[in-house]
Amino acid sequence: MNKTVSRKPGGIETGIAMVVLALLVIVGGGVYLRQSQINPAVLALRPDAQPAAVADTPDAKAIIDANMAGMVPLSPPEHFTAETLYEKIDGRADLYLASGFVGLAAQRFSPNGSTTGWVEVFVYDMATPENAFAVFSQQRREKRQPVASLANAYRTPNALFMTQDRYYLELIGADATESLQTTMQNLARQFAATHGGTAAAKVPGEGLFPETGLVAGSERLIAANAFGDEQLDHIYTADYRIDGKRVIAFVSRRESSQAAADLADSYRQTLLSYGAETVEGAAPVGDAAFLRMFDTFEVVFSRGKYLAGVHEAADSAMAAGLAKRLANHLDPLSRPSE
Amino acid sequence: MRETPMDRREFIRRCTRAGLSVTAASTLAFLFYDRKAPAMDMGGSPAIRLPDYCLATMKNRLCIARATDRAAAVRQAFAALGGMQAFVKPGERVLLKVNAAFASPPALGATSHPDLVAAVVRLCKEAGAARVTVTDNPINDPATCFALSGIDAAARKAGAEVIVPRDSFFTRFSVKGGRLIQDWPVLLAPLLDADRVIGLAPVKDHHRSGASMTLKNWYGLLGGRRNIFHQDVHSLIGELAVMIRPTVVVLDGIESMLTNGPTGGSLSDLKPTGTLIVSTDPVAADAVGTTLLGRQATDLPFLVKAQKAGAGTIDYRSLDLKEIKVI
Repeated sequence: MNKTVSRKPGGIETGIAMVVLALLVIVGGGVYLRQSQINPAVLALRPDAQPAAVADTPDAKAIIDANMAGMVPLSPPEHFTAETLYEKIDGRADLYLASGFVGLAAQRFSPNGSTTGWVEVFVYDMATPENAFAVFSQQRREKRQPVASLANAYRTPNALFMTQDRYYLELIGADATESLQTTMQNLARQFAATHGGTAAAKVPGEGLFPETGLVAGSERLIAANAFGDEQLDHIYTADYRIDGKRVIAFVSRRESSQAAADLADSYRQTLLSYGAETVEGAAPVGDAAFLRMFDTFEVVFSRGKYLAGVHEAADSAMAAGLAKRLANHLDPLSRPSE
Repeated sequence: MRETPMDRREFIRRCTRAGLSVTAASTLAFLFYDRKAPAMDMGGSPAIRLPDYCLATMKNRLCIARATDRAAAVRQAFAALGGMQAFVKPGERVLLKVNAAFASPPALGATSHPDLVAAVVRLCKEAGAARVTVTDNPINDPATCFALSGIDAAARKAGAEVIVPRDSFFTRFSVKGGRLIQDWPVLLAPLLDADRVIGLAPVKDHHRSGASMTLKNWYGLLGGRRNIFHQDVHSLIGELAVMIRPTVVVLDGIESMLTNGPTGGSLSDLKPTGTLIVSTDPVAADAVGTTLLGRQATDLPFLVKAQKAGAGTIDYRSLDLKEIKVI
């Protein structure tokens, strides 16, 4: 009773199968094209895609014990995550999100509950002291004054900015009165005292740059995309004033000497691809790339685990001189880890 | 070709293969299945069209007022352009779209200044407006934003009604030819209830878009989780420039936020720039504002896109330009 079956399909069957497969490919391509141009509203307006900031009840515990500073909460604490940060600070959220942001707690305080003379406190949890320093340093105001007994802090007429351990704080006053400024400083000291005290107030990257010519308080940490280059992350920069002109030096500690050397070479290649030209003659530092980028000069080199260089120098002698000093400064720093 | 007999083993093998194929395909489909998929009906209303609030007789007008006092500057700037009565006719309903994005005191320059809001409300009332409304959609706690920015009290005192957004005021809306604003909730109710629309914005640095002025100010008409547009903010502002054709805009550069925008926070982020701009061309107004920030209009891609979309011109000197000094 064995029946016979075809070993191979016939021509018509093959043709039909090919047509069906072709149709499937066309349908798949259509779905792919449609999905690649998806209306943002489809995903962004899903109910589960709209997290909301959490505002505590009015009697919730304040984010700072303000009683010591003679202040009482004017509003309940608000808490924001990476998903909701834009609700509070809109377009500035990107800076924090690129620097390791974890959470924001914000609350307004005022003396005796008055609706004037209030201060809003923003406590950004940035996960690490380095991240906190990154957002602190990148937003540092030019017109500022130091704050007594707070290491990483400065004041402006109406505000106070500081880092403490993994936190970056902004205390924004509604006016520029000295009494409100005093209150803000008391609040800041209260926070520092309850979050590690002076032991937690170290400046990340301290000692990376030679001191001569260094503009005080100009050190910055760029967490990502430094100088517009995606591969440059965790880059410390500092300003130097040489012959009345501003020059930027940069240093970054990498995982290994090889990683530092590779990044130096990769950054050199990037600059060349953007139109930089190699400066003729001896490099200011052994193995350094010495480049002219339009009207400015760039130096890039590595020293042990450190990537370093000079950025946007107005003339070549200035760039070479600062690069030599930077290399000499980094030499002893790089030796112990080698 | 017809000779291989099918025995039981072959039959079972083929059935197993077929079963596995069906199971694999079903599993794949199950994994891709989106249980939370949005409804096919997005609730939008394609029939809704925003009116063109421009006045054909007032095109290409621009006044740059050098001043320190906002109220005096805006009054004299409008006077130089023919007076508010040239823009608002008796009995018309006027909507002022302010920037009330943050619960921030007026002195920090992050929001429209209450003195300016009050002055424009008064001008509209003097021109015979039947009703003046003031609105914006700050995402975080709108009532507090209006209150602490001083806009609420100033607008009400000057005779305006303040509209704090509610869910029912938003309607899904699509910009014709737009790529981003499609079926997106827009604060349409106050717009559709107005005969004239005036934009009031401060000059600010902006971390993402480079600058926030009159065109970026329309961002506040969007609802939903609008931060997703930050990735393509220049295109988004370009679409907003097409979406809203205001009667006139007022750009406040009496003080400009040069750093740490759009929120600022410190008085040291501001610089006195002593300029107030009134224009029927928002692109031109923003082009003037860009100079207050020490930049060029072509540095801002959203201005280039807005110009390309026909929303105005960057070449503000080509307009009917008045420059006045307000004492």
